[in-house]
Amino acid sequence: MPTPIELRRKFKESLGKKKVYRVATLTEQELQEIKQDGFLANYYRVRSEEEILQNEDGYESVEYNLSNLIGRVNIHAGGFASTKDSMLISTSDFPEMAQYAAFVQLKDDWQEREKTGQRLYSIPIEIDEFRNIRYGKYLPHHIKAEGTWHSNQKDIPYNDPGIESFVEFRISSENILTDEIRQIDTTQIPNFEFVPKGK
Amino acid sequence: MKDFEASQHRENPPRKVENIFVESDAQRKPAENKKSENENAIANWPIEKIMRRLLREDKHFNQDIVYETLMKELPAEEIETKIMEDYMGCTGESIIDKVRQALGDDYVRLLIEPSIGTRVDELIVFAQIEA
Repeated sequence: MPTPIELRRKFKESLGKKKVYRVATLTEQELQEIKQDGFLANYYRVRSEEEILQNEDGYESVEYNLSNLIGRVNIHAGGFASTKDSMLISTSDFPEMAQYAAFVQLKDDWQEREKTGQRLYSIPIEIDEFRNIRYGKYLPHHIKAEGTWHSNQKDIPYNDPGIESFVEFRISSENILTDEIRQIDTTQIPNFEFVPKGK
Repeated sequence: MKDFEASQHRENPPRKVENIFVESDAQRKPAENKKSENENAIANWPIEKIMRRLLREDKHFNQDIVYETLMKELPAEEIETKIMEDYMGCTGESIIDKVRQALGDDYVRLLIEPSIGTRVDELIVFAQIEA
């Protein structure tokens, strides 16, 4: 039997790579920064190194924000709390769902955003599947349901583990498929609706 | 996805949010309880201490280094506490038992990494093939 660390490495390798998508609203300059630096989890994006090292507030600590996985994931799933302390970066296997989930939060003030030079981009990422933290038996959706996310472009089962996944800490620029980044026409974004099973 | 779930979260928010916004000062925040036990406690919390060191060494974004270090350096008791917190009581206990029975005590530490804890059944099958 391999040692625990050897087993971890072999298991990680065995899962291979996976293409996932992240949708973000960015100015041209911000897009260049993403291409150069990748994505950082909000926790690290909004704090300097100094602030983290000198922090004395339990809620702001790395330890607190690295604990309670189910709670951390649920914050991304609902609009009840800010993701500003999140160590997780949300992605989806489905570009249509990534677009919908991002734009549903932006559409109300989209015109104002456009005036300031912001555009919506679909950013494909190729990453070790091991790094994708997915919903499943041990990480259930906060809302238990059966059914389908339906749109005129695609139907996705509610419990499909590809619907949303999470990467910890950082997605580095080497993982970003720069040549495949594209600007999204916001008039073409699918509007998903949840259809419960049996309806 | 978000709008569907948002309304339902208000009725049944997850533990972390309850801790922050709902519970009384006396009930809440294991974080604060720890703080009162020892001044300057946060920098000495087991995970925090390791993560701050990795930050100073500029290794804190590297998932392999972060979790291999936590697996090696955290005491067994802290490892189990984190697993129980990550998956809530019963599920945490059940995945610890599964790994303990199938692979042995030494492998329980792997579960502190969400990439493994959420794939525990696949890990056990994989390990048994590798053995």
